Amino acid sequence: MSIPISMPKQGQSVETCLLLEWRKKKGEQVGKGEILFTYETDKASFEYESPAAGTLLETFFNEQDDVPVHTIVAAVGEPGESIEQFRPVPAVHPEISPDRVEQPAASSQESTAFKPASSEAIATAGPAAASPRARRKAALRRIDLSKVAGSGPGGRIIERDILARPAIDGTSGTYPEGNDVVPEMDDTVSEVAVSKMRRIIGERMQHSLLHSAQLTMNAFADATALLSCRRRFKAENADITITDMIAMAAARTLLSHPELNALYRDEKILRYGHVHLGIAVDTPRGLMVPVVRFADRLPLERLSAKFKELSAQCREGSINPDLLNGGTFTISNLGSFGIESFTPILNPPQVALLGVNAVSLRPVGMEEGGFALRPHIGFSLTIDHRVVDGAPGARYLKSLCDAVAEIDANPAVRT
Amino acid sequence: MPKSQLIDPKKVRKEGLIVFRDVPVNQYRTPFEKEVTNLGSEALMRICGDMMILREFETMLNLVKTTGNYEGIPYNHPGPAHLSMGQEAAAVGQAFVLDVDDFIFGSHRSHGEILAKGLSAIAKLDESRLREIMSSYLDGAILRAVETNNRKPVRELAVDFLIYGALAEIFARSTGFNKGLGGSMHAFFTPFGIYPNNAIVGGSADISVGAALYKKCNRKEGIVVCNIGDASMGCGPVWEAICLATMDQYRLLWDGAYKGGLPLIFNFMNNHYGMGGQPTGETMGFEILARIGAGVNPQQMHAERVDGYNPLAVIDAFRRKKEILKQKNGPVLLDTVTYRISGHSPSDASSYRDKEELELWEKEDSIAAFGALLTGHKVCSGKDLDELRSLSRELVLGAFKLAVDDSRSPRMDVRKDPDAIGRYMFSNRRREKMDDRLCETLLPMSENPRLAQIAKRSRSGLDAGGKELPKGKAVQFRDAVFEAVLSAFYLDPTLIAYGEENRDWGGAFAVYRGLTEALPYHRLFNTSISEGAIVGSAVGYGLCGGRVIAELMYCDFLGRAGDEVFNQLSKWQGMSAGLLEMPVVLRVSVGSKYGAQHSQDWTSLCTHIPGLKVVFPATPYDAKGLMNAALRGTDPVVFFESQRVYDVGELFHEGGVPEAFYEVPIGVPDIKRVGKDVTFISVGATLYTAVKAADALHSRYGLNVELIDLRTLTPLDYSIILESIKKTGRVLLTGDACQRGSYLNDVAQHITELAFDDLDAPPVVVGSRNWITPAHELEKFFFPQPEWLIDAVHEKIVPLPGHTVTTNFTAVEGFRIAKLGI
Repeated sequence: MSIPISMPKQGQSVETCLLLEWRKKKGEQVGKGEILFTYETDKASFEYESPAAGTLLETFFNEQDDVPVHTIVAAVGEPGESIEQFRPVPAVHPEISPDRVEQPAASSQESTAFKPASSEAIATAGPAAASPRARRKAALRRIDLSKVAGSGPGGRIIERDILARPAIDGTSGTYPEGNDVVPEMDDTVSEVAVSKMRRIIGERMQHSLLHSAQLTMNAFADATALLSCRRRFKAENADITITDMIAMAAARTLLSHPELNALYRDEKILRYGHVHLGIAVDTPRGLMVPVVRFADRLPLERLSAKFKELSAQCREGSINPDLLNGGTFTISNLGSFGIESFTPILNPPQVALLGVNAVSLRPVGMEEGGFALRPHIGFSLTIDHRVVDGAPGARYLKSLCDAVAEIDANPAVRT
Repeated sequence: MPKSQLIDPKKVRKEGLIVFRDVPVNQYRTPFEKEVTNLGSEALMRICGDMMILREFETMLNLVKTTGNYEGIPYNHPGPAHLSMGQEAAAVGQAFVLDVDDFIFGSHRSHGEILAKGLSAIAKLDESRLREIMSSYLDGAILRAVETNNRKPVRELAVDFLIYGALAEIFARSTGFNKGLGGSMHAFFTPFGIYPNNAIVGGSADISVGAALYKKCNRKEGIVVCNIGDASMGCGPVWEAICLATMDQYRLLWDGAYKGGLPLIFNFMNNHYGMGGQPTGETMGFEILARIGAGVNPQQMHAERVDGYNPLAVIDAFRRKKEILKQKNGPVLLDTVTYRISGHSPSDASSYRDKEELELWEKEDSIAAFGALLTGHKVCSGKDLDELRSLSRELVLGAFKLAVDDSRSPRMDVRKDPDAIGRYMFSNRRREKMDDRLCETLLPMSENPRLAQIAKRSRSGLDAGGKELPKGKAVQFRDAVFEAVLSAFYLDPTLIAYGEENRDWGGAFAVYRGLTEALPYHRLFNTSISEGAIVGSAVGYGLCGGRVIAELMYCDFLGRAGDEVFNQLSKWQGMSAGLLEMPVVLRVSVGSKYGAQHSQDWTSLCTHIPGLKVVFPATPYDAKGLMNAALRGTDPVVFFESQRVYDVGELFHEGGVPEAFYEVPIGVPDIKRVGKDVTFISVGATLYTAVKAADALHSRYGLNVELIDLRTLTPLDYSIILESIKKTGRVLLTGDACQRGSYLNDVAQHITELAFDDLDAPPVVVGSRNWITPAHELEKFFFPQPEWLIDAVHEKIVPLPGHTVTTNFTAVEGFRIAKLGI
C-alpha cells in the first residue's frame, strides 16, 4: 500500500514551503527515517524524513517549486502500486472560487431564496483581507499580515488577531485586561512645531531639487599654502579663516568663469560682472545665506570682516532681510565637521554652488619618485546642468584648485 | 371640540336652505371726475407714472431675456423672469391703498407688485425714516451702489434704491435685496412691507395666513395681502390656507381684543392662465373665481370680482376691503381680473392663445387707457405723459447699467468666502423672547394643574436602588416636553402653538394636557385638518418675527406638508441671505402599531433638506433640554417624538429630569452607556432596542457596548462618535427609518471617511425593512429588534462564538434584497 508524502506545515503562519532538493530519486529505495527531501520556509530549512520504508514511486514537484503546505509531493510504496490517487489536482485560487460567497460567515441559517451565481460581485474577505484598524496595528507592531489568520467575518483579519500575536520586536501581544485603549507604539518624544523659516527652507530646497538639473563634482586642492597662510594670520592675531580665503579665491576665480556667476530666471541667463557671494551660515533657526556684495573686489580682510558681521547678525536674527537676497554664487562650508564630500543643493536662481570640505592628507607623487602626504582641501561643486555643462564647471573647479594651491601668491593674501 | 358649543341634533337635522348673497362682479361705477376730486391729480399722475415704471422694468427684462440687450447694452440673464406686463393697474391700485405696515406676499410673477408696493411706501414714509432704512439695510450696501456724487432728494434716491435693489436681486448680485440669494421669484424687502414672493404656485397662501395670525395674535397694525394667481386655486395648500384663515373660532371662541376675523386678503391676480392652461373654461370649474369665496363661510369671504385693468376700481375695492378687515370681519377674497400680455416666461410661444386675443387686451391696455383718461379730463397733458414715460425709462436704464456692472454690483465671491451661502442656512441666534411685553396667560404658571400632577412623580425613572419605576410614578417624556413648552409660554409673549386637537384634548398624545387651562385661545388653538397650512402658516408667523410651535399629529402626515417643510420652512433663511429668522418648532410624532400610514420614521426626509435642524430625542431629559434649546433659537427645528416612549421615565441621566430650566445643545450626541468593544449609535426610540441588544451581547458574549444616542440628526458634531470608534473600532447604527435612504447611512459614510483607519469592520446600519409597516402583530419583522443587532454584529463585525442567527444579515442577502428593491 503506497503512502502519500505531504509538505509539512512548519509553523502556524506558513502557507507554502520551497522544495530545495530531492535526496532520493524516483525509483530509489528509501528506508524509514531516511531523508527524502529538504525544504525551507522563509525562516529556516528543514529535512524531511521518510515515514516508511519502500520505493520512492513518484515525485509530483521539482526542486525550487513553492509548494502549498499539506500538499502531496511524493508517494512511497512498493513498485507497481497505484499512485494516481495522490497526484495533486491543479490548485483553484480560493479568492476567485465562487463557492466562498455561498457560505455566509458563521450563519447557521440559509436563505431559501438567494441565487449565489448573481452575487459574485460581493467583495468577500479573502485570506489577505484585513480591516483598516488591523492593518494599522500590524504596521505599528511590525507584524506581517500574510502570516496572520483572520477571525473576522469571512476570515477577515481584525484587530484582535493582531493583538493576539507577539510583536516582531518582542513586545508582548497580550494587553492587560480592562485597558481599553491600546497604547500605540510611538517613540515620539517631542513634537516640534514647524517654524515658518523651517517651512521656507524646506520649500526652497524641495523646489530647487524639483526644478533644476543638479550635477555635483568633487575635486581636491593642495592646501599647503592655505594652511600656512592661516598659520601666519593666526600668529598675527588676524582672525581670517579658511572659509574667508576660499571665499576670496572662489569669488575672484569666478570672474574668468562668468557662466557660473549667473542667475537662471524666466528662461533667461543673467550673467554678472561682479560676484555677490552668498555664504551659508548655520543658525539656531536654521540655514541662512547672507550675501557679501562685490565680494570679488573686497580685500581679504574686508571680506572676512563683512562675512563675520553678517553671520553674527544671522545668528542673532537681526539681519536685514535685504542682505539675504541678491547673491550670484554661494559657498557652503561643512569642512569643519570633517565632511569629505557632499552634494550641495543649489540656491535658485543661482546656477552654481561651491561646497567646501575638510582638509585631509593625500598622497602626492614626487618628481624624485615615491610620494609624499600633502594636506588637501576638498570641493564639491554643484551646477545646474540646464545652464552650465560639466566641462565649464570642471574648468572652474580646476582654476579654483589652482588658485587655492597658490593662494599665498595672491596679493590680497599677502598684504 | 369646545364644550361651550353644543351640537344639537334638532338644529342640525332641521330642514332649510342655504341662501347666498350676490357676489359683486366688476361693480365699480364711480365717475372719473369724482375720483379726480377724491384722489387729486397729483396722485392720479403718480399712479400713471408708477404703472409706467413697472411696464418699463419688465420691458427691459423681456428684452434682456429675448434679445440679450437693453438700450444697446448687452446682458445675459440665464435665470427666470416671469413677467406681468399688462397687470400693472392691479399692482399699482392695490399698493396705492396699502400702508407701509401692510404686508404683501407674492408669487413667481410679482416684480410689478414689489415695485408698486415699494413706490407706495416711498411716497408714504417720511424722509428721515426712508434714509434710515436705506442706510441700515445690508449695512448700506445697496445705498452705496446707487448713491452717486450727484446727490438726489431722498425720495428720488429711494426710487433708484428700490428699482436697483430689485433688479440686482433678479440678476443675483450681492447688492440685491437679498444679496442675490432670492432671485426673481423670491425677492422681497420687508422695510417697505414687501414680504417674500414664492416660486411655488400658491406657496404664499398659507404663509400669508401665518403673517395675518402674527398681526392678530401680537396686535400689530396693518393687514396682509396674499397675491397669488387664479390657477393656484387648484392647489391643495391654497384651499387649506383658506380653511385655516376662515375658522369659526376667530369670531366665536377667541377672546376680547382677539375676537374677530383675520386681517387678510386673498387677492387672486386673475390673468386667466396658469402657465398655458385656462382655469376658466378648461382646468377649473368656477367660471368666475370669486364664486369660491361664497361657499367658504357665511361672510362669503366678502368675495367679489374687481376690474384689475382699472387702477381706480382696484383702489376702490382695496379701500372697502381694508375697512372690512379693520372691523375684524376678514378674511377677504378678491378676484382681480387682469391679463398678462407677456408670455408665462420668455420660452412661451403663446401656443395656447390667439393673436387676436392678445390684440384685444392690448387695445384695452391699462396704461394707455388710464393715460387717455388723464388727458381726456385735463388732469395732465400728453407732454406730461411723455415726460413720465421718459422718466421711467431713465430710472430703469440707470438701474440696469448699475446692476450689470460687475464692479458696482458684484456677485457673492464663494471662492474667496466658501461659507458665503452656507452661513445663511441657519441664523444660530439665541433669543429668549421675540418681543418684549407681558405674556398673556390665564393663570400663574405655578398654579398649573399638570405641574401639580407632575410634582407627585419622581424626577428619575429609576428608584434609589437603580430599578426602573412603574411608568406612572416617574416624570414621563410627555411631561418633560410639556414643562419646556409651558415655561416658554411664560417667557416669550409671541409664542403660540397650534395643530390638530391641541386645545381641550391636549394633543393626541397628551403632551399639551394642562396648556388649555393656562393659555387664551389665540395662543393655543385647534386647526382645520390642514397639515400644509399648519406648517405654512407657522412659516409666515415665524418670518414675521413670532415664535411658534406647530404640530403634525403623525410623522406620516409630513407628506401632506411636503412643500411647506421642504421648500418654505427650510429655505427662507437662506433665500433671505439671513435677513429673516425662522423661530419655528415643528413637533412631529412618530407612530407605531397603526400600520403602513401611521408608523413611519421620516427623519431622513428632513435631514436631506438643507436648512432644517432635525432632532429626535429618546429620553425625557433630552426631550426637555432639546425643546428648551429649540424654543430659544432662531432656526426651524423639526422635533421628532416617538409615540413608543411618551410614557418612559428618565433612565440614563443621573438625577433624572431637572425641574429647573436647562438646555441640551442641538447637534451633540450623547453617550448613554460607556463600553469598549463595539459602538452602537441609535436614533430615536430605537435607543431602547439597542439597550436590550447591548445587554444580551454582554451577558451572552461578554462584549461591552458603548451606546451613543444621536439625539440630533442635523447639525451633527461627530467628535463623540469618532472618539468612541477610536476606542472600539466597531460601529453599528440603528434606527426605525427604513434602511434604504436612512440618514444613518450618511452617518456611516462620514464615519468611514473620518475614521477609516480606526475601523475594524465596516460601519453597519440596521434600519427597518423596505416594506410597508405591517400590523402591530407583525411589527417585529419590520422594525429593528435586539436580536437583529446581535446577528448583524455576528455576520458583519465580529463573529460571536457559538452564536446562532435568527435573521439573515449576510452580504449575500443584502445584495439580493437590494436587487429586488425591498
